[in-house]
Amino acid sequence: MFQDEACLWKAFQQGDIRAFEVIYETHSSTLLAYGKRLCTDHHLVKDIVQDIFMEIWTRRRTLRDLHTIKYYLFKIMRNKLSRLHQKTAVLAGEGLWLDEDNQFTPSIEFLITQQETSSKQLAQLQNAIARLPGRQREAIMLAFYHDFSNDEIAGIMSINHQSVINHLNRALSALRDLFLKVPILALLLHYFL
Amino acid sequence: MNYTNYQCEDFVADSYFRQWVKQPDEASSSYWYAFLTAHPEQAEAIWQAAAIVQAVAEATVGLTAPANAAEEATIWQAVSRQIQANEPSTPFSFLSRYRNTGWNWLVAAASILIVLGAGWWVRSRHLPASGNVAPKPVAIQSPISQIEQKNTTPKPRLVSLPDGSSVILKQGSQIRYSTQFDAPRRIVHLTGEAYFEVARNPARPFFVYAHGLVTKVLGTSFNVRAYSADTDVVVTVRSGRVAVFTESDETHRQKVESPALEGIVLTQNQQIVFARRAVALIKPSEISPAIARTVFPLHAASFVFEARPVGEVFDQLADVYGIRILYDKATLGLCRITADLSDESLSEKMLIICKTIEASYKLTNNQLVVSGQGCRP
Repeated sequence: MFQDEACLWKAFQQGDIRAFEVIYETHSSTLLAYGKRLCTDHHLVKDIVQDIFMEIWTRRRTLRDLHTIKYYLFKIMRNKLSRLHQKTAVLAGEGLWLDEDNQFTPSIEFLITQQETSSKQLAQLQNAIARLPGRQREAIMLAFYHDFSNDEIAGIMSINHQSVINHLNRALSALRDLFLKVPILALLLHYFL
Repeated sequence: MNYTNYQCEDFVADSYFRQWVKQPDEASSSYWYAFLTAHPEQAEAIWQAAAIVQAVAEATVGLTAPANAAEEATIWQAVSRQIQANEPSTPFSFLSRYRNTGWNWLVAAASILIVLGAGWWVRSRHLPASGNVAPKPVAIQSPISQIEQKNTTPKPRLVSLPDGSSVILKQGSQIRYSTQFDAPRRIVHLTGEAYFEVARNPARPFFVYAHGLVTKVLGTSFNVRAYSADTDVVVTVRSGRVAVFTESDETHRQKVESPALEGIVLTQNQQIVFARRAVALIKPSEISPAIARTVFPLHAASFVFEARPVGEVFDQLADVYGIRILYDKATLGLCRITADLSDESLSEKMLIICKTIEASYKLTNNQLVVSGQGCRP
């Protein structure tokens, strides 16, 4: 339907609803996944996703490119959630929010992956990441799963560039012991010979 | 950026470094290889950092909430209703993929796409070996005899494998497999381009060997495409899990023999590049589903049928698989099908349909001929 991302982008800006649907489909699941890791009220996350997509449709002409969209979506998601967080923290208490102290509830996918994975190290690494403090984990997920740059992560999390690097460094040193077990040599031979 | 004093973890925390490891392009690759040449003392830190980036990236995949298609569909419907209300002039006549039940199978079905270049392969057969030579295929078993299936026609050709898997061979493509296809490992050698639908059987993993790259699945559907103009092998996963590794891999045999998926495991919308000349794999990167769909026409189709006339079902199968299905409209026309055939291979789909309508089918010359007594109204 769309030859490449440039075509898709052009069609979207011209108001092609099919292009918008493709964009929705591309980003909705990761955006939902990200939101659900920030807030346990999944209905609220769904509503926010709906609002966000309405917003990018309305503002489609002023958005720069597809990559910007992903950044923009994540940034609004986080802004909206933290604004709601501040408002509702008094009412609902902290239990609703996955903050520093709360850990990931492993998803079924995670458990399956754990079961299937032949590498013990991978499972250990997953457990260790799941146990990281909230913000460090969020920075790790944004950097390594969602592939955002440090500047983008800073924008999304509303912190400065150096704080992103600090979060990542702290997380990485917490994981350091596990890396010693990563079969680096094998990986090397594999990827970079 | 001054990377000369970077430690291993500084590289891991660096965006540009991560981008190179996860989504290498020409610019970043030439930058980092130039850096390595200029600073060999940093090589160890860089390789270690690359391994860490890969390990963490792999670990994060399992830590993400699984996609929920029904939820995404609900939100999309709400969004499109709202747009329609705000802007009544927006054309909504298109067939939204979220409107039919086919959406579910989109998520369920796993498919991968492999793009590989035949050009280099052809050259390598005529030139004397030098430097980085293609790895010698590791013979897994010396087969008693091989069956070769070719498609010399411009139209796709359907091949049924003995295990119930289906292969749709594209123009100028060929597959080769052993007469002992029922062995513990199902092995197909591919040159060219094909769409595979593998009958599920985790006890007997299915392998596609393509010019030095091995793709292993336990049973699912996937697409293998080979563009003759390309020099790389590219594997793209639509959804589900497949493992890839090279034939030159020292632990190749172990990866083949393991009951699990070992090697680099690709998940939904991930892509891997196999540089054939260098015999090197470059770690998976994400691709946009929008792009994936343009090369996967199959995903636009729904295979969930509710009391549909069998002719309609056949038409859809014929259309999606690019084959011809011949049947007697007078006798079979009244038959109706209610089934979810999303995860089955074409052969399995046909078996289920034929059982339902008490018919049988035969595959001859890329045509499926269905015959039966017909159904009472």
